Amino acid sequence: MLKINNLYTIAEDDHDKKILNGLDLEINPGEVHVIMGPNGSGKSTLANTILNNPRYIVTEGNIEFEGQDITNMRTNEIAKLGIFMSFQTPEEIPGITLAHFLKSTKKSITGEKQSIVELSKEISENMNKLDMNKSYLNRDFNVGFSGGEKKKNEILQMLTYNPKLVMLDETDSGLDVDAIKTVVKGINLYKNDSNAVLIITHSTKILDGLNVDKVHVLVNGKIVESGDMSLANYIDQNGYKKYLGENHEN
Amino acid sequence: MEKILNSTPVRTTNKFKINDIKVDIPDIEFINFDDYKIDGNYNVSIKDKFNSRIGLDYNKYLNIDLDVNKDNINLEFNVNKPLVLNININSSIDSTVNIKYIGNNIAITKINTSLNNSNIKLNVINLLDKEAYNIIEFTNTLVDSNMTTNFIDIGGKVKLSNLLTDLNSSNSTYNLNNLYLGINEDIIDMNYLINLNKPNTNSELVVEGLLNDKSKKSFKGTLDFKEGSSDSIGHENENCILLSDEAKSKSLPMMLCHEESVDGAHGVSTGKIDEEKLFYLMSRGLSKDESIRLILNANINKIVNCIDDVNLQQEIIDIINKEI
Amino acid sequence: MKTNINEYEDKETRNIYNIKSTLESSKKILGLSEEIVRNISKEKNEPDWVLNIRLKALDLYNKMEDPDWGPDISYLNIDELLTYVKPSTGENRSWEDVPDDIKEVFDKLGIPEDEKKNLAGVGAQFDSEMIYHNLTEKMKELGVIYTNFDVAIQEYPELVKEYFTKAVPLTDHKYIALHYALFSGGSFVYIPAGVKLDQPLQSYFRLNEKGAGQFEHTLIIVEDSASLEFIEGCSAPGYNELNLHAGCVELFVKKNAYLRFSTIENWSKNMLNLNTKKCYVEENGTIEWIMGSFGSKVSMLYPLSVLNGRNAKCEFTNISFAGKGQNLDTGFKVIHNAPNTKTVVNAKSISKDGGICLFRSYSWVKNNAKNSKLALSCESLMMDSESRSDTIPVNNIETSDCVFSHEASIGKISERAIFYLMSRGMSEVEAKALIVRGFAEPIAKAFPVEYAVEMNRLINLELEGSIG
Repeated sequence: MLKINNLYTIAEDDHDKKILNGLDLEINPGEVHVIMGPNGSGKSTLANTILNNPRYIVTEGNIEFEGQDITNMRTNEIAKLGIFMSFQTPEEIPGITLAHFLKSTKKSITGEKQSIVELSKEISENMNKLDMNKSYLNRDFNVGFSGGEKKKNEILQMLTYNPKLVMLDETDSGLDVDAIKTVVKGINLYKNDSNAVLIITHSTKILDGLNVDKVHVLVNGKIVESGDMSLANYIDQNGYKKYLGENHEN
Repeated sequence: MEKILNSTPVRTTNKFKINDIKVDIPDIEFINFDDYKIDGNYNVSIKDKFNSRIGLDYNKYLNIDLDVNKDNINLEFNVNKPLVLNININSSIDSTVNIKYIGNNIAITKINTSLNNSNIKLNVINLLDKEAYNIIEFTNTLVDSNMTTNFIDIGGKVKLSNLLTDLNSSNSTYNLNNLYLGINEDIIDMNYLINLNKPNTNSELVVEGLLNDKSKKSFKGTLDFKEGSSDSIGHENENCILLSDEAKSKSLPMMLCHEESVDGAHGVSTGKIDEEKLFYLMSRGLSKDESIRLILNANINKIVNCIDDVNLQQEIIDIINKEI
Repeated sequence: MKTNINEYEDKETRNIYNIKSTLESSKKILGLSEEIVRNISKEKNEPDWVLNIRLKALDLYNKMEDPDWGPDISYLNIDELLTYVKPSTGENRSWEDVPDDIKEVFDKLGIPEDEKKNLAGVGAQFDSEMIYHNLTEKMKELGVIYTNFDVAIQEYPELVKEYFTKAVPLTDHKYIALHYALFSGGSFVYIPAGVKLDQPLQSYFRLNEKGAGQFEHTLIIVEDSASLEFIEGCSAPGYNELNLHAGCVELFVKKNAYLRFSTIENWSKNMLNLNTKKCYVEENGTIEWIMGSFGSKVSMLYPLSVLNGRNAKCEFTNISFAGKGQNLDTGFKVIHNAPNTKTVVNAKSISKDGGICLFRSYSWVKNNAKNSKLALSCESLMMDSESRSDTIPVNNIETSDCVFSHEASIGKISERAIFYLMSRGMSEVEAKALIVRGFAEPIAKAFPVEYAVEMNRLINLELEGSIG
């Protein structure tokens, strides 16, 4: 489904800043992948680069989605192919209600003509599942939302668009136990055998209750080790010392 | 005739060319207000000697006294002949005053609002034609009162506005929501001063603007926390999006403070649309153009939504969308 | 009219800055006239082209008006000012040769000690003349020039001619015209291409004579890919007569070059500080201004950076502390005149006991400055209601391809924070001082360590004087 080959990136505003340094990754339908790594290792850059955020420039390598090279595609075209990112810090848009936002983006992302009644019903059901108050629909997008509500709003969008690949960029950070549970519930509602999930996280809390297939450790822009859930547990116990040490010696 | 108008309360060096605005204002030779029929039961008269802080003086003007005693007042002016107008609003109850301009000539207005123990919403909508002039001066004196001015300044090639608000008792609040649009070679000059004279007064200014083509705007907004204005809050936010590389934006968000325990803040942002916001919207499937339009409309809605009249809201949004 | 400064009040705590040298000056000149200007030039044995600049400047000064904005300085009477004061010593290469009583002043200020601490060179000016300049041998070998500005005119006339008055023109304002008529002393620094100084140069300016003016000229050229950190410190003892400082700093940062220019200004509170600073930055060059303004009765100082080359950067970090009788009208100006240029401003001010802090800024983004970024932030702290704190920023944006943001806030010390600290055993004064130091901390960090310590000490002095 997603295949990243030998990817190198630099920052748009500082060309000397190398972020990803020869990253390889393959995700197949039905899989749940987890990327862990210390601060500044390039985790968020990876998700942003997949969506071609102009803040990052790919200098080498490429990204394929369902056999198509998407490295230089426009962000909205990539989104239309079915890749969704839950943002670490979702934007606020004063002046546009959540309902308006969901309706206009659903239409452009799926290209389908869906009746307003049907869509409203769908949104309303999803909000129930995520314990979201429906009054939020008439509030300006993310304005005055708490950190947890903003993240739930990301998951609501995920359920509304029903994409093929979901990237969760630190969706769990700053959330309390209940909110994390809701996010996990959302992921489980979404997950099936034909779609895939990439979770970027600091902690293993969000992984409880999920069926994780692969865990990757990202250090200095490169995947230094891959394994199963036991790797995540190892890092939870021991941190990244082992990898940083190796790198310092190099 | 070219005139120097709309001078700032605190001067800065003339090199910056923001203390005043030099602009051509057509002479009004003969003033006849016969064509202005005012519907409703208001005290209308023709008076002598019109002086303004903006710097324009005339011999005659149309005067309307609105002693507000009902919920809503609607005034619409079809400005096809020069209009020199003074409106006095004195209110002792909660009410909304709507003033709307259409037409192609020059409108020069002073609106004096003097409130005691009242809540007033003043909506001023300039939907004049492209070649028109809108020159407007607001003077607000508030005692134990709350006032909101929603000022939509869209039409006209010259838009000059001057605002002076004195918050003269504690627990008085003054809010301004201002939306302007610059197209072609429009000149827009805003000069606003809020005096927070007493403890526990509040004021919030939100100014949203779009500049296209070769339009130019100057925004001069001053929050003055006078000695004795303890525990007052004054916030000023100006956001100007430049849609054309030939448009020019100047701003002077002054904050003067002579009191210790106040909460004062101003923020100005000018230039292109925030790229992170664009990326976010594009990640939700919108094209770049669609994303830009959505953000522009969001900025417009923020101000337009303050006006309760849904039909008027849509009229304003449609006019702006036609121009950008 | 007699110059009168009733508000001036000295504090015991300021003692070390207050040492008054008893040394007799060898020459003092009062007032301003063509003859005086010619005499100063003759005294310095200057070539005609320099004299002509002085005379032209004098003419401009006489024709120009005081600014019609900003603090009132109309009480300045140039006829009562000592416009040139020559200390009874020449310029020395060895600290041992500096006369004892001048040495004592600088010793107490810690200047020679500083030199031992990792400085590439040190200069010191006493009244109108530099009395000391020294540069390490290593720097000399690299081709670095660090000398008295008067000496530079004699020894490097071509270099001086190429740059002198080119950043700050005579016509800029009335007091820069006065400066060019009377300039004396100051430093000339030339860093050849590719030379990166890993230790700073430091100049120290001391105005000792009462009722005198100081008009030093500093000219710094940092050639392609070179790098320099320059520190200037200013102080004076307190008198009841008005002193005037009308210095000028001209900086040229070439391609890929870097200059950090730090100033800690602690003039006495009878000083009119009308200083002018300007920097031209070429492609990929960086100017960093670090300023701490504590002293003077009135300051008017707004360093201007002109970003003339692609990717040029300007960082401006400032803290002002105005106490009783002080009016600190400071700020910055920037002109973005090339693509991809960037400005970051972080300015803070503290006013107390009726002190006035006023922050002015001017940001001009020209149409050719595509993809430029400016982020300005101003924060002021009011310690009481007798004081004033004003912010007057002018923003002039002429391209749509630019991200400009300006944020300003005014606040007070939170009662909750004071209560919290007092519950941990601090006195109210200590608590306030701690909070103010915390407020100033991000700026203090930008200073060299010795100066950061000095700054914290000044904050403590200022606060204890008022609250204790």
